[in-house]
Order: sequence, then structure tokens, then C-alpha cells
Amino acid sequence: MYAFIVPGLLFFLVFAYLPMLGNVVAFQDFSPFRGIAGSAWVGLDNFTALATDPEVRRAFVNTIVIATLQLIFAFPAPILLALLLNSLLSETVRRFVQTIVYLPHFLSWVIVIAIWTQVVGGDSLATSLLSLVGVEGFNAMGEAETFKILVVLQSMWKDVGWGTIIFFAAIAGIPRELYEAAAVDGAGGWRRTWSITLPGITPVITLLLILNLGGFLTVGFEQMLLQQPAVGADAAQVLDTFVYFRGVAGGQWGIAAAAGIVKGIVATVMVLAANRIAKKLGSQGVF
Amino acid sequence: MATTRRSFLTGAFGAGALALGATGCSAISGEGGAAAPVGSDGSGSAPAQLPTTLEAAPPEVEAFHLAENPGMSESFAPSVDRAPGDGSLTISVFQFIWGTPPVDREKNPYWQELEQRLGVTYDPQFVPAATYDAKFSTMLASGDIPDLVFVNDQSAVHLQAIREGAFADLSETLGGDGISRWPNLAARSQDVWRSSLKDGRIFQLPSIVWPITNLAVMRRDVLESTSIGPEPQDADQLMKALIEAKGTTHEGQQVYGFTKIDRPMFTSLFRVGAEWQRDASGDLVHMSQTANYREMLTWLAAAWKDGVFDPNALTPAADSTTWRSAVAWEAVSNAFAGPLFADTARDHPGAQLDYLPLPGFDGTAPLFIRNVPYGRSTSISAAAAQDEERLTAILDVMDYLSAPWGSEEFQFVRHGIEGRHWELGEGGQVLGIEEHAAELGVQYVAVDSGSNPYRGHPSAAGLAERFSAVMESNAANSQPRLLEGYESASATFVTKGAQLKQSLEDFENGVITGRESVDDLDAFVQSYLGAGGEQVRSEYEAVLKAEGL
Repeated sequence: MYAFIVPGLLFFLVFAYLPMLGNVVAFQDFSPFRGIAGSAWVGLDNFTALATDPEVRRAFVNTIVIATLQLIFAFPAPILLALLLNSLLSETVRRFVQTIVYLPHFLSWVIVIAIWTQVVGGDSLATSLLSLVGVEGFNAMGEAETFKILVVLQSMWKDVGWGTIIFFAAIAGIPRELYEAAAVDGAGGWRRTWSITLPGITPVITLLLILNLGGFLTVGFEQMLLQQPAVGADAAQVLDTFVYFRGVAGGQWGIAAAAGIVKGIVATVMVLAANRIAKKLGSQGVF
Repeated sequence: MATTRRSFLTGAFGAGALALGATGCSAISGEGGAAAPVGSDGSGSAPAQLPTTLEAAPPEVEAFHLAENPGMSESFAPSVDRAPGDGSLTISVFQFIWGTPPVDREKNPYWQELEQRLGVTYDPQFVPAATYDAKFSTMLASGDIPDLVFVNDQSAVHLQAIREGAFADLSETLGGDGISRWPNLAARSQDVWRSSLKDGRIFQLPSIVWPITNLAVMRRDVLESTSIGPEPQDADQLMKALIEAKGTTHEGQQVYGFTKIDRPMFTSLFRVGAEWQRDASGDLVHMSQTANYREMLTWLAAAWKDGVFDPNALTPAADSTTWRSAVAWEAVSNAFAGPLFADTARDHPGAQLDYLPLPGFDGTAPLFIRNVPYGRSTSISAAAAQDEERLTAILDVMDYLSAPWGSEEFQFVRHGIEGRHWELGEGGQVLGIEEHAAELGVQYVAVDSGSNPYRGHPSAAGLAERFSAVMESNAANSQPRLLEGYESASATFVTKGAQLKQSLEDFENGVITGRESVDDLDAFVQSYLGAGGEQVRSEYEAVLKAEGL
């Protein structure tokens, strides 16, 4: 019976746990050619360099702000959409809307950003319409001040439909009799949603929230990298792009790995904390 | 191929061929020198003896036009008469590709023909351009370095690998007359070798490159419609013309002054000079510390504010096609060696492209900075080079792949098999056959050799006089980089070059688009120097001093 877990176990061992050993390069002046065995050990120098590097501070702040905004706005969005779609009576309309809102998930970030540029960029549909009423110089894709909001909106547009799938599944698992009984008792649509649907999917929401916190500091590498030239590093440098520029482009693998470890530690702490809080609030948590 | 050498050259390149002697090369040739740069890390190896240059045989075509500036021959190197390998050797290649990988060997006549001609099993590992640096590091970390590796020595990661010994030091093998076994590799001038040395040693097989690879191109019809006309005399006039031009539409789309931020065009316009340069008192300074750089940023910020640039210029969705830009910075490979002008005239009737004699910002001449004399490079794995016989065989292959323009080998390597991949069109134009194009691209390690003129596309025949006049002027107003051949001599540049470049570009973009002010330039310069720029400067200064420059 336990043999069934072997493939999955091997998968995680080979592709998740073994690569973690590579984190030792965070304590080295690592060179790919010299390898781990041939690279010099530098103790905590890379972490010290991180702590004193203003670029890291900027990347960290940007990451936290964007992650928080995404948590507040992007995480609940699919729940709301799922509830909204669930309230639609027509199966045909519901399926049509679902299909439409799922589609952006399958587009790459390059395409998504190109579409947004054509719609709200500097020479776009929006500028054409606004110029008709005398508003000139609108360019939502090049405004550093509003970039973080733009990032969240793009994420929501791309993934809100996809995110509804799990919530739909959870809603489908709620016994129909509860709704029927509530209707007999005179409960309206809002009351049924509030008292039956939401409590019914709360375990799933909690689970996804905790898992989401595990990736809290992962805020979209491609999305940031592609838009950084237009809005600048002050607005769009996040930990993932920092790691890319220092490691892949700059060859400073030790510092890049140290940044990755810090990110991992923060994520672990957040998951543990969220799990504990969830349990204290009466939920099962993840573990 | 049954075509004789004479008929081949005449047919392929005869009637429409334009070979312009490379302008401005005399100042950067320098045959016969032997001194080599010494690394700042105090490398103990003696400077390499530069490989002897073998004179190429005269070609059987005549140049349409020869540049007035002497220094380059219009001749082409002959092909190599050497038996291919016996088929027992497999050569692995870390192969850079721009698009999709070519068709598999079993179904690919080009690949099979290449192996037959080389007499080896050619075993490339295809790596997309977008992920090349990342894969390069993975390849190094694996410890299994292929025999041939495309190397970009402007990348910190690649430079680090060269310095740590991943690739063979070819100084003893190729230095002096040692290179004479490989005449195609030898058909490059010594300045090409000299500028590509690392710590004074030969680690790369460098390709030749034009000293000036880009020029300004204008929409003549658009500029003629302005009050300034097609020959603005300074930056103010150019700005006025572009502001007037920005209202133009063509085929329902707006034509902008610029659709891209082409930095080299603007640094040339404002005579900014090379990134590192001597100031009036002889100190080494970064270009951002010069008054001209400040002027340039101020002008660019005003241009952006006045709508001269496409507002989407910095986004992935920017439409940078030349015909939508009143003035563009275009590669010679498109604007003269390629069919850009003819294609534009065909696809966008009424859009007249022409070369723009770029003025200096203050009414004087512009200042162009020449390329380092080498472009693409390929290195040989240090492990492979330990076996002398294998190293010789690998260099034989590279010699074949480096065949110069005008040779039968070049035609095969570059264009494929006649009748399957290309055929001759009217005027000797080589016409690719699209149906089998996916078979090409098996190799991209070929490092060009031979003479280095600008060769025009047959469709650009009518542009030759105009092109040569503009390029003569650009060449006369050009200068080499002070740090030519010494860029990698700064250890800090190797580790922090990418970071510094990113911060500079980010600041420039910020000033241009208005999210930062040119008044912040001094603060930025201090920050730039503090983040490693000053260390880079002092390391370069030490090397230049040691070289007496």
C-alpha cells in the first residue's frame, strides 16, 4: 500500500528537497564552474551584504507592499466571483461567463501586458477615447506612483477566473438540503450566502490562504521584469527580479541565494503563523 | 556544387553586389603590433603573441564603391583545401539559437551535409537566446562543458567562466605563425585578436565586425513636410522637426519622432563619447559626469514631454518598426545589407526611408564611438583542448565554419544547399527557400573572417552613393573607445557591471519619462560611483596607466 507514495516521494525528494542543498552557495563566493566544492566559503558575508544593500531594501519594501495589496484584493476576488456566478440561475450564462473569465489565465504575461498597453497605455484605446473629451497625456502603464495598483489589477484580471474553480468545487460540495431548508424557513439569497455558502467554503478559504502565504513574497517575476523599464526599479524592483539581476545576469550567485533563503524563511514563518492562528480560530489548518 | 568559383561569385553577388571598403578602419587597424593588455588581477601568464594575419586572396568581384578612408582591403579570403575528418570524432556544441530549433538530424539534409563536409558528428545542444545566460551557468555547474561554446564576453557570467579556466588558452596554439594551419582563422587582422584578449591571452575565436554598425535613418517624406526639412543642423532643429512631425499619420497609424530610446544615436548627437573617457584635465571619468551627457538627458526629457517619443516606447508592446518613426537608429545589416528600404517601399507605399546625416547637437559634427573590432566569439572547452589531436580537429572545424564571404564554404554555412535552401534570383540575389528554412540554424558558432567591407543588398544598389557619403562622414567623426580591449580588465566590472548598467539605464529612463529630474543627476552619479563605479574607474585607471594610455 505504501508503495503508492514512492513516486510522489521521489518527485519531491529529487525536485524539491535535494535542490535545497544548493542553498549552501549563500555561504560561498560561488562560481558555477568551480562548483560548491571549489568555491570559497565566506560565512555570513552575503547576508551582511544583503542587509547593507539599499537595492535589497527597496526590493523588499516593494515586494511586501505588492504582496499585501494582492492578499487584500486579489485573494478574495475569486471568492466573490464564485459566489456571484453561483447565484446565476441560467447554466448557459454561467458557463459562458466562466469561459470568458478563465481565458486570461492561459495568456503569458508578455501577451497580457501587451493587451493592457493597447487598452490603457500611452497610445491606446483609452487615450483615444479620453482625447475625445479633451483629456491628454494619460498613460497608466508608465506611472510609477500607481504601478503597484496596476500590478494587482493585472493579476486579478488574469487569474480571478481560474481561482474560482476551487471555490466552485467547494460550493458544489455543500449539501443542497441546507439551501432547501433555509428557503423553507424564509431565508433570502443574502442570508443563504452568508449563513450557508460562506461557512461551507471557509475550510477551503483557510487552506488556500495559508498556502498563499507560503508564496507571499512571490509577486510575479515576469510581470515585474517586463514593466520595469517603463516605471523604473524604484517601483518595480522586487525580490525575484533582484535575484535575477544579481544572480543570472550579474553572476553574484551567493548574494542571490542569500536573498532566496531570506525569502524562504519569511514565507515559512508566515505559513506557520497563519496555521497557528487558523487553529486558534477553530479551523483545522493545514498541518 | 557544380558552380565554378567565378560563376558563383558573379551569380550570387555580381550584378547587384555593393562592396564598400569599411570606412574609418584605418585608425583602428594596427597590424604587426604584439603588445597585449595585462589583466588587473596580476595574471602570471605572459602576454600572448598575436596570431599572424594571412593575406586573403583577391576576390573575383569588383567593389561597387571603395571608401576614401584606407585601411581595409576589398578582397576575400580563399576557401580551405583540407580533407575533412574521418568521421570518428563527435564535436559537442553549446548552441545559441534565436528561434525554434532546426529539424532533427535524420530529416535534415543541411545537418547531414554539414557533417559530411566537416567529417565529424556535429552534436549541438540548442539553447534559446532568451535563456542563454541562465543555461550557460547550469552548463558550467554541470562540469561537462561542450567542445564549442558561444561566448558573450560582455556578460559577467561568461567573463567569470573565461577567467576561471573553463575554456582553453589558445595562445600557444594560435600565436604567431602557429595559426597558419587554419588560414580562415588567420584571415582576421591583429586588432581583432588584440581587442579580444583576456588578461593578455587568447581564449576566444573572435569574429570580425564593422567599426560602425548603425546609422540614423529618417522618413524623408515626413521630415520634408516640416519647416526644417530633411537636414536638421542641430539638436534644436531636430526637435522642432520632430515635434512638427508627430502629428503625421500613415495608414491610419501615428508616426512618432522616435519609437525607441536608441541611446547610441543620442550619445552621438550630443558628442557624449565612450562610457569611460578622459576629461579635459586627463582624469578618467564616466560619461554621466560630462556636461554633454547632462545636455542629452535634458533634451531627451523635453522631447518626451513634447510627445516626440511613442509613449509606449519602454513597454513590451512598443511598435518599433522603422516606418512609424520619423528618425530611427537602424542597423546597417537592415538598412543597407538588408532589404529594409525596398520592403518598406513595397509594404507601406508613400513611406520614403533615407539615411539621415546626423548633426552635432550644437551645430558641429556628431561623435560616433566605434565598436570593438570583434563581435561573436566561440571558445573551446579547456578539457577538450588537453588532447592535442582533438584540439586540432576542433580548430579544423572552426576554420571551415569561419570561411569568409565569397567562398563556397561561406555560402553553404550561411545559406545552405543550393536548390533546397536557396536559389539565385535576378541580379544574383540569393533567395532563401522558405519551405526548408527550418533545416538551417544547426550551427551558429561560425565566426566571420576575411575582409570587412559593407556589402549591400542587391535591392539597395540605388542607395550606394548616398550610404557611402553618410558613412564616410560618420567615420570621419568617429573615434575608438579608450578602453578598447581593456573592458574586462576591471574585476569589479566583471562582478558589478550588470548591476551598474541596470541602474544607469533605469535612471536614464526615469529622467526621459519624467519620473526623475535631470537635477538629480549629480546625486545619481554619486550613487553610481559609490555602488562600484568608482572602483571600476580606479581599476581601469590603473590598467591604462600600466599601458601608458
